[in-house]
Amino acid sequence: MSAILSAEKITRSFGGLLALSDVSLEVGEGELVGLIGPNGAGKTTFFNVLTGLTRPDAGQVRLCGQDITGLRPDRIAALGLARTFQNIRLFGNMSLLDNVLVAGQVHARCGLMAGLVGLPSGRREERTARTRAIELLSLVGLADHALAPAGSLSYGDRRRLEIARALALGPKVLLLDEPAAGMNPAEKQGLAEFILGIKKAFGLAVLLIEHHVPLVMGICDRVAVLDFGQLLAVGRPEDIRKDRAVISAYLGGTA
Amino acid sequence: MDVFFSSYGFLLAMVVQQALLGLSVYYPLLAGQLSLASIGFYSLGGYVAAIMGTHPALAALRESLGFWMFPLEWLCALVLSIILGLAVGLPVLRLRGIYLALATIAFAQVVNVTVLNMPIAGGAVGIFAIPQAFDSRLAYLFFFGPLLVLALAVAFRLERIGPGRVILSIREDELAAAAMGVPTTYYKVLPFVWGCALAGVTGAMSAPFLNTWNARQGTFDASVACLAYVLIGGARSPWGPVFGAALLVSLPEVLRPLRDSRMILNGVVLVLACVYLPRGIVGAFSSLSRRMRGVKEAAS
Repeated sequence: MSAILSAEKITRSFGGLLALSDVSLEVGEGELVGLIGPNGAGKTTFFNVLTGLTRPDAGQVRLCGQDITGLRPDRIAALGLARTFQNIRLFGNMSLLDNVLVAGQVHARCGLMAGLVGLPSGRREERTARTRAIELLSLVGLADHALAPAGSLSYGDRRRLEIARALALGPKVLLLDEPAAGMNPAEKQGLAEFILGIKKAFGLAVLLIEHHVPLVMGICDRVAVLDFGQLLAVGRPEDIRKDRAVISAYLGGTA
Repeated sequence: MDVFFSSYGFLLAMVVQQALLGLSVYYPLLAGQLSLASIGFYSLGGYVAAIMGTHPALAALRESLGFWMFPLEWLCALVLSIILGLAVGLPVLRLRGIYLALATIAFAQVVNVTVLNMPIAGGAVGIFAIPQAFDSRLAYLFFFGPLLVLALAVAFRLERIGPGRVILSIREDELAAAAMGVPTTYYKVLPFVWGCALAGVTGAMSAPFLNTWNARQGTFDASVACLAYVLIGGARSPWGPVFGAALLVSLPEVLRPLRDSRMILNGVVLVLACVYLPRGIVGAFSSLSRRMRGVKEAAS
């Protein structure tokens, strides 16, 4: 299996705090990789480095073989690396439809002038974009509220809208930052099936940060464990479960 | 009616002219960028028109172009504003919030001090006896009116097309917008420069309208007035700056019978508007009409 997204020896520190130290991880085509670790382990920083929001001090990020280290976040997103945020970041005063359309704009060919004067090509493009956005909204079950402001949604629905928005980029790899946070067990189960569904439907590779270990172990092909900025272990869920270093990080002491 | 237009013609044209300045602040605000640079561009545009309209070296050009001299002045102001807008916007738009506001105020001050010390701009006296385009003040609506229609049309159109949504998404959350593939610098500079261009052309149209042009056109007070149009009128609809300008320009005139105490009442109205209409006049009306519709639906 060839790696579609690879991080090599990523190091990043904030002041005296080493948030990531020599972290290397590969995500293969169509693979679902889980990233777990205690709070403050550096999981979100790792996502920020991958998506260009934080520059690494050292190391390299490759997407489909292309070096994307240090590119602007919007360039990286346009190249096919989409993400959601741990502390949901929607465009709250904009409608659900507009939220998705903003991300879909990376595929736009027509310029500002074509839109302003209402050229047929611009209008056609707008129609196609809308149809696609509605499709994505129905995929996450929110099409009925398409014109409501995103800020009016419930917590769980916001998470789903964020995923729909990320999918509108037409990504090759989707990074999900704690998508199940704040969900009840039934919702978590539903989310697990949903993630497997979109992964298959869009041929996506997925990298998933999640605290709920059963969810991660249940659906991931491989699991990576991060602790104090160090990559403790990477492997199949059943191996990770037995890994001594992982057990000691999670349970403490010298288990 | 004739009496009305002859006594209030200047005021009507003034409302439209100030509404244009309000819109020039409104555009960068679409991307969440609070810029007070507009007045600097307005001042510069005015100087371009004033110099082109009065400088002896250009007498032959004015002679041969006739009325077409005015569009040429607008064009020169437009080009200058776009170039300078890009030069100012690219570095300054890295700043956020209050720092951006401060930097743009500083820019307006730089413009002011520079023109005060340029012999061609007439120093503190400024430039006077600028050739008129029309006999009546009201007729200047032929200048300002179409520009206002254009500025409003672009603003409303932006709400419905992709690039406009992208600009709004930056106001909502710049970081999330970048992560969703939005080239944020480009879409912040774009409405900023469009605002600069609008202010510059408005200035070029205003020089003949006001007959004289001097550094007092570009003061800090004027910057704040432009911002007040947007805040009082409403920052979420293009009508906001228009209604804000209409209110703030006409209020001192309407209250004229009160003589000296009129400025007190003027201030009271502003304070009340800030406290009770946080989303501006237009924002208050639109939520009122939404509530009325809700009541009607509930009743039926």
